[in-house]
Parts: sequence; structure tokens; C-alpha cells
Amino acid sequence: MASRAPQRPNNASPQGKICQFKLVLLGESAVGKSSLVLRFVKGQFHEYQESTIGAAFLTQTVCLQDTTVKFEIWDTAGQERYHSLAPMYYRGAQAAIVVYDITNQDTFARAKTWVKELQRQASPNIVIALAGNKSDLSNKRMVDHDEAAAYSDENGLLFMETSAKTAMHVNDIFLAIAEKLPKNDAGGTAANRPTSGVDITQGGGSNPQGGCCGRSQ
Amino acid sequence: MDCPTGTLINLNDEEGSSSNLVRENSQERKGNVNKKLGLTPLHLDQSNKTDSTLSDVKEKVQLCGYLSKISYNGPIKSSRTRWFTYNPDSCEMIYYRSSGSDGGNVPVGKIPLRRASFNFSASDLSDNIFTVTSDGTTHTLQACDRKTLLWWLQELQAGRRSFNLKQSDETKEQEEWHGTILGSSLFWVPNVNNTSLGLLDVRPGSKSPAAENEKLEFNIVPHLEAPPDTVGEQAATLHKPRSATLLSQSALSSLSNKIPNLGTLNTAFSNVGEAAMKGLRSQAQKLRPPSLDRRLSETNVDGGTIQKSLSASSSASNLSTMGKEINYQAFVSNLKETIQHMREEIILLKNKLDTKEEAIEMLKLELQKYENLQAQLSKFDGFSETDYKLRSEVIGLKLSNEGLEQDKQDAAKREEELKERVGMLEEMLKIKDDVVVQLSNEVFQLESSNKSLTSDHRKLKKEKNEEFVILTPADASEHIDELKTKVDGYTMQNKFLNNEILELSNLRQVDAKRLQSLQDKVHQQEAEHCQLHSKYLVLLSEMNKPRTESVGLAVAGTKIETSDSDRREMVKILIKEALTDSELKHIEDSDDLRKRKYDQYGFSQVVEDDAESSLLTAASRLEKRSSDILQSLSQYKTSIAVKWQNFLTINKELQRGEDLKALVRLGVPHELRPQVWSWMVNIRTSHIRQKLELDRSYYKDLVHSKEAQLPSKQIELDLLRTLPNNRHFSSLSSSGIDQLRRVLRAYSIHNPSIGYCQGLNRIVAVSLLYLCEEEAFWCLVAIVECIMPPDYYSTTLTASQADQRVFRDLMAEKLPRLHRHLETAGVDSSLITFNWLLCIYCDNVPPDTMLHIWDCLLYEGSKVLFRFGLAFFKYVEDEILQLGDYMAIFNFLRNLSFRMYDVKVLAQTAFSGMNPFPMRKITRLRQIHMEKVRAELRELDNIRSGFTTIRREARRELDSDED
Repeated sequence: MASRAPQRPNNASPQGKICQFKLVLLGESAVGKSSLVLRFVKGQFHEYQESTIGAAFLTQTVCLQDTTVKFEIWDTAGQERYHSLAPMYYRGAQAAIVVYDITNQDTFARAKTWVKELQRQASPNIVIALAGNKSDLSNKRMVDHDEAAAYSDENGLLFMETSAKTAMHVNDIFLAIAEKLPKNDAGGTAANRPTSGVDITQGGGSNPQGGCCGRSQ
Repeated sequence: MDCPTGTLINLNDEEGSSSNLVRENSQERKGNVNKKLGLTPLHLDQSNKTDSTLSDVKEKVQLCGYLSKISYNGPIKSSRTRWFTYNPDSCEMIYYRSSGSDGGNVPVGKIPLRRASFNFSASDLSDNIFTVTSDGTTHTLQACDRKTLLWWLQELQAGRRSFNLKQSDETKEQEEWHGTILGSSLFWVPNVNNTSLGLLDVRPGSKSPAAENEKLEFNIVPHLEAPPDTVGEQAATLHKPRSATLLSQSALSSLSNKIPNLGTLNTAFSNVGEAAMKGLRSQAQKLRPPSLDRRLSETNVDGGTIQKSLSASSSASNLSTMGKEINYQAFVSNLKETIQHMREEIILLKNKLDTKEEAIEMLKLELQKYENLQAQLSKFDGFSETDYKLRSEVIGLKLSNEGLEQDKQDAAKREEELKERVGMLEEMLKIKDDVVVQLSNEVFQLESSNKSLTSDHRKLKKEKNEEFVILTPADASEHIDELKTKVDGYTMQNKFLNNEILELSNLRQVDAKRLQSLQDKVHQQEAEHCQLHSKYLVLLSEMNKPRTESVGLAVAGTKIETSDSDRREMVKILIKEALTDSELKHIEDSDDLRKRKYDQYGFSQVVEDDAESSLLTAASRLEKRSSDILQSLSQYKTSIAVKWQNFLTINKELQRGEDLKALVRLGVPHELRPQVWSWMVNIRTSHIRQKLELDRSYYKDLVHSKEAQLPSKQIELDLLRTLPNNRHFSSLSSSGIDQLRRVLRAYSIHNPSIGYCQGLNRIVAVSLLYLCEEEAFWCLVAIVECIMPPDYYSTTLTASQADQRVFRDLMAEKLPRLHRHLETAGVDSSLITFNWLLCIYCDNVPPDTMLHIWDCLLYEGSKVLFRFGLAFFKYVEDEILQLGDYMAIFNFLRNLSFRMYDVKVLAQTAFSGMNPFPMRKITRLRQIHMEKVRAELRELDNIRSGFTTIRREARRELDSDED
């Protein structure tokens, strides 16, 4: 399944195209998935972020040069037993961020299995990014940067080490994904969504920042 | 059940000193031993003592004790002995069948004192009865003695005063005025000690009372120390006095009061007797003029006998007034007799006088005869012999005449003498008459007083036992005593009422001031409201403008652009204003008092600064506030509390039934949750515990088992991520954290097939708010093993996933339009509902709503989950139907749970709007979907196990705590 975000002529916005993408976050428990999203969407960071049950839904808009990219983000729960729910969330996703904790080797191993599962089960053209989170704790580092980078190269993944706490590379990784996503009309078939097209005005209705550039820029 | 309460410290009691905490703990332990399923005894101790500062070391006797409550059902007067306590936080007298110690701990009722006035009537004072008039109803109460009565009145006045002052102080602070107006709490708290078992303090707002209480104290009535034994806690240790014995006690005491007076009365009486005797003596002396003859002295003798009899009567203390009266009467009749005698004598004397006069008359006639004879003799002078004879005869006659003359003189003398005597006797008679009149008057007076005494005596006879009334002096003494007590009572009443008037007028002044400040506030609020409204209207008109312009000036595109940007500019300004406004207010709130930062459940009130939805959150915050205000105005919560109270009054123990079900659906009051939840959990888990808890230490054994000492990675990771915005779970030092850890570890050992599932942490945290650690553990058992279907929290979450599909089916049935709309938009509601059901609405649902759902879930079971979920959707159905876009709907649903403040409407929708709601159907749907989910899971497992082996290794390494 390719990009399901259809585009249509946009009279209201000078930016031209508006694309909508579904993005899912996967990874071991407490690696910082929710914190990454919170940093990206609200610019906030909580030392103790409530653990996610099931999944959380958030949206954020990113402005590229001629395109406005709207992310619908599904932040999933990390605990093993919630993984049986994961297909429900990554089904139909055009992008995924697989997160691990650089201070914990196990989480990196877990991330690798997620990558495998996505490659097998998710949309064939899914853009996968690997995020080595908690880069502010580099003194406790257990996962080598180069090792992760090499793995990403092998598997065609975007890779960045991020820190939700210091905001380092958080927006960058989302932007990189936005850049990488195909934004042509051809890919925009909403297979699992009968509604054709995205209504900007309604979409923006519940999102005060809708239509403008996100704070990510 | 015993909880390891030693570690439990009441977090909320920040005002309490450390000594308070120690005492609480020890009392908790004590209370726990007594604790049964019913409600546990009340010790108002702590709530009374929260105001005790270090300087006030002296223990104040707490205001409680036995009083008889007298009620009038028409003409029937009934008296019941009740254990009364005063709750300083709500300013109420609460009464129970008996003190807590013997288990009769269900409050029977309460008397609000905030607006009450106290009184006692002097006539009732002897019975130690006082009245409390509050909200138009008058409660008549009887204390066991006067000292207790006065002490109660004094303390109640003090309580009322301090409460009113406190309230006015609170209004001075810029608090949520509506909250304080409506009273800090409507509750009698049935069990203060045990309610502190959970992390929440369910005691009604423990605020430090105003220190300026003293300024309203009056010294008209001297301050009383608490009478020992009859009031205070130690009174509870006494056996509850039966009303009958109480009555006899009071009768006895009044009698004994009278007994010492008997002596004084007797002396008084003898005084009276002496005085009367003196009077009589003087009268008798009057009756003794020097010229009185022996007959008079006879009367004197009579008087002497009267005196004697009188003195005899006075000396004999038990002589009856009746006897005395008889004496008087005898005396009078004696007098009358003597008078009669005298009269007869006078008549006799008169008769004698008459006969003597007759004799004189006869002698006069003889004398005339002799003179005639002399004349004849002188004629016959010549006849010498005869003449001589005649002469001698004449001389003889003359001589006899002289003798007769002398006799006549003597008689006249005697007559004069007799006349004199008659006059004297007449005089005496007069005096005696006077004396008789006087005496008869006295007799009459005595008779009338005697009558009144006997009538009083009869009255008393009616009231008292007959045996006490045989002696009339006792009767009289009682009367006098009664009068004395009455006088005492009136003076006391007078004093008290003066004091009361002063108090009340002062309170009125305080109230007037408060009213003024409130009115000012209302005006201020109104002004603010008008400002906001005008802004809103301006905004609306601005929003309306471009459209009309675009119709009118279709060509002038540039114009529209500018007005558009103008409009945007204005909206931006307004948004900025609105945000700073609400933020400012918020800062005011949090500056005001630290406690405003947290609600009563310990959840942080500070809404995160969410740039994206700040307007929405601000709006929802305001919405909550307005609904709070409206709710408190409508007294919805009050009425529920009253219903619960009535229920608990009627049913001494909680019992399953339609009544209770209906009540639970209205929500359990905050103050009662510890008891009610604990009871529900107990019912749910009793069969499991019977099996496991043979030695009643199952939980402790789990906690101390070896396995529990091993740290569990996932649990440790989640401890601080459970309820980070609740102060009981916000940091590692928060007391809730340790309990949470122990309960979760214990459960993962207790049920290894489930172990630890994310989400259970929140369930435990919520139950820890109201329950002690051990109960929270059993609550978790109840939810996971009894209420929820099996496999809900298992490693595959099978039942949980199936339930989302059941929910979808139910939505298709109950909300078909919405269901179709969501289907069309491609929105899968289960992505949202999963959180709701799995952690029982702990996630992002307003605490009031969440706890209400918990009440119902614990009582009714898992069906409630669907009812409320559907009610949530129903609540916003129209709004969702307006949204067409997939993303817009999800965005809307994401914030949906935040907005569910209106518990009342939600509960109504959930329970009456969704019927019929047969459990059979749910069970059937669950079975169907379970099968499907299982099949899908098998498939997924196959896929997963197929593509990697690394993962399995990783899983083994990572999730040591999982299985």
C-alpha cells in the first residue's frame, strides 16, 4: 500500500499540496516513544510520562517547501503483551518510527524484530525510521552509534539518535520522514478509508494549528 | 481484615502534627480490629484535634456524650438515649444509637447547628431539658444533670461560633465562594479512623479554624469545665443508660435535692408556728385586763391550753397542719363556750338584780304602810298607852326602816357593782369577739394555704411516686424547693438567653459582613461576565461580517482579504487574552492555597500547557468549573448524600438489593467510598479468600515471599508512570509508590498467568486512593478474576480485544446512526475504547466520572463498562455526526474522555438510556468474538514465529517478569 494521502487542488493555502500520512511508533517499553511524540507535537517533556495503554493518537503538521504534511501519529504501548495489538495500528501506516534506548542493548534487539515485522507485515512502501533515543544519556551508552547506523543502512532505514529530553533531532527525524514520503497523486489511494480526500477546514477544526506550519520549523 | 497499617500514614493530613499521626496510627490499629463489613465506629478525635497547635497542649474534652432525645408524636412524648457527637467541620450534632464501642455505630441523624439557636425553659430546667432550634425544627434534648446541660450549651455555642467565623474567614480568602457557601461537607463521617486507610483523606475539609474565636466569647455565663463522666469519650465507656433508669436517676436526684431542704422547711415551719403562738400570746395578754375576774382567768387558762397545744404542735415536727387547724377550731369553740357562759352569768345577775329590785319595791310599799300607820298613831297620840305602844312601834318601825334603807343602799351599791361588772364583761366580750374574728381569719388563711398545699401535693402525687407524699410537711418542702429551683432556673435562663442574644447578634453581624463581601464578589463576577459576553458578541459580529460583505461586494476581493486578516488579528488577540485570562485566574487559584493545586482525589488541577489544545482545555476546565458550581447549587450531591444516609440509617449493614443498586448508580459519596468499596471487594472475593486465606495472612505471605523481593523490571519502570499527576504517586518518596509496588508484585506472584500487565498499575493506584494496601490487592483480585472476563489482562489480552468488538456491536445496536457514521469515515472505535475498558476509565477521564464508574463496576460487574462507554459516545453523538473526516473524528475522540464531566447525565444515559441491556447478549457476543480473536492471534503468532528467532531470544531476555 502506497501513500494513502490523496491530494487535491488547494485554494485556501498558498503552499499547494497537503498530504496526510499515518505514522506509527513501535519499540520496547519505556524507550521514549510517547516522549518523542510529545516533544514533536507539543514541544513538551515530562520526566515521568504516563505509560501508554493500548495506543495514543496525536496529530502534527509539518510544512515542507511546497507541501504541507499532516501526520496522524499512533503511539503504541511498549509492553510485550500489547504487541498483539500492534497490527491494528501499523495496518495502513505509511511511516513508522522504531525506537530503542541507547542505554539498553535489549531494546535495540527488540527494535530489530520490529523492523523485521514491519517489513514483512506492513505496507510494502512503508518508510521506516530507527530512533536511538535518550542520546542525552551518552555516558550510559550501551548501543554503539555506528552499529545502529550500519544496521539501518543495511535495511534501508532512516536513522537518527534523538533525545526527547533535549529535543535533539526530534523534529529532524519527523521532517526526514516527511521528506522521504512519496507525495505524488498516484500513491494517494485510501484503501481502508472510503472517504476520498481530506477536508482541510474540518481537519483543522479540532486542531487550532491546522493549516499553519507546525512549530517543528 | 487486618491491614499492615503501621506503614500507612495519612498523607493528606498536612495540618496535623506528628503526634496526631502517631495517635491516628494507634487508633487505626484499634479500629481495624473492630472493623467489620458494616461501618466502623466514629472517633471525632482527630477532626477535633486538627486545630490543636503546639501551644494548646492541654487536651480538650471532645464534645460528645449521651443525651436523651425527646420527640413529640402528637400528644405522645418519647425519650430515647442517643450518643451525641459534635462535628466541628460541618457544624453538626450527629447522633448514634450508642457510642462506637459497642458496635452501634450507624448515625441515626444529625442536627445542623450553623444556623441554630439554643434555649432552655426554666420550667424544664429541673429535667435538664434544652432545645436546639435549627432550620425551623426544634430538637428537644435532655442531659443527665444540669452541669452537663450547661456544658453542652456552652460548647455548642462555641462550636457554632468558631464554625461561623471560620466560614467568614474562608470567604475572605478569594476562594471558590460557592463551595464554602454550601458548607464544606454535608457528611457525617461514620468512621474517621478507618477512612484514612486509603491514601485519600475523606474527612470533610480539615481546615484550621480561625484563631480569633475568642473575640466573640461572652462572660455572662461563667465558663464551665467539662463535667467528668457524662461527656467526652470516657462517657462512652459507661454503659449506655436506659431511659427508664435515667428517669429514675433524675427523679432520685431531684428528690435528694429536696431532702436536705426538708429540714430547713421544718425549721421554717416551726418558726411560723412560733410566730403564730406569739401572736396568740399577745392576744391572750390583751385578754387579761387587771380587773378580770376568775372566769376570765379561766379563759386565760383556756388560752394557756391553746398555747400548750400550739407549742405541742410546733414542737412536734410531724404535726400536721390539719391538726393544727383542729386545734385552732377547738380554741375558738372554747372561746365561744366561755362567752356563752358569761352571757348566761350576765342573765343570771340581771335576774338577781330584778328580784332584788322587787324586794326593794316591796319594802318601799311596807314603809308606806308603816308611815300610814304612824300617821294614824299620831292621831291617836292621846291614847298614851296605845300611843306609847304605837310610838315604840314607830320607833321600831323607824329602826327597821333605817335597816331597810341601809339594805336598799347596799342593794344599790351591789347593783352598781353588778352594772360595772356587766360593762366589763361586755367589753371583754367585744375583745373576745375581735379575737374570734382574728382567729377565724387566721384559720381561714391556714385553711386556704392548706388547700393550696394539698392541691400542690396532689399534683406532685400525680408526678411522683405515692410513697413520697404521705407526709405533708415534705409536700410543702417540695413545693418550696420547686419554687426555689424555678427561680434558679429563671435566673439561669435569663443569663443564658442574654448570652445567646449577644452571640446571635454577633453572628448576624458576621453574616452580614460575609453577605456584603459575597455580594461584592457577585457584582464583580457579573461585571466580568458582561465583559466576556460583550467580547463574545463582538467576535460573533466580526465573524459574521465577511460573509455578508462577500455577498454584497463580490468583486472587491481585496477588501475581503483585509477584513479577513483583520478578523484573524482580532481572533488572535482574543485568544491571547482568553488564555492569559484563564491562566491568571489559575495562578490566583493556586496562589491562594496550595491545596487548590490538587483536587480531593489528589489529582493535579494544573492543566498542562498544551499549546495545541490550550483553548480546548481552558474551555473544558471552565466547563467543569461551571458544572461544579451548578451542581453545588442544585445540591445534587447533597441529595445523594442524604439518600445514602437514609439508606444506612434504615439498613444497619450494607446488603445487596435493588435499593442499594439504585443508590450505587447515583454514585457513592466520597466519604463513604472506603467502606462501600471495601464491602464490595469483600463480597466479590470472599469465595477466593476462603480458599486461600486460611491463616488470614495470604497477602502478607505474598509480600514477604522470596519471589517478591526480586525486582520486576516492568513494574519498576511503571511505578512513576502510573499517575504522575497525582500527588500520592508523583515521586518515589510518595507513600503510594511503595504500596503500589508491593501490591503489583504480590499479584504477579499470586496469579503468574497474568503477572503484570500495564494498566493494572493504574487500577491498583486508583483503589489505593480509598483502600488500604491489602484491600487494594483484593480489589485487584476482584477486578481481574471476578469482574472482568478471564484473559482480559493475560499475555495476549484476548478477552480485552474481543470486548472492543462487542462494544462495536453494541454501538451498532444502541447508536446505529453514529456507528454508521464512524464506519463510513473509516474510524475504528476500538482504537479509542481499548484504553477505556482495559484500565476501567482511569485514563484521562475526569476523576469524578471515573470513580463513579468504579462504584458501579464494583457493584454490578463488567457490563457497566459498556454502558458508560456508550454513554460517552451518546453524549457527543451530535458533535461527531458533524465531523466527516477520519482525522478530525480521531482528534475529537482523543479529547473525548477529558470532557466527560457531567456524571449525572452520563449515569442517566448509561443506565436508563441504554436499556434493555441483557447480560446474556453480552456473554454471547463475547464468546463469538473470543473465538475470532483467538483465531487471529494464532495466525499472527504463526507469522511472527516464522520470521524470527532472534526475537524469541530477545523476548526471553527482556521479559523475565512477563510470564
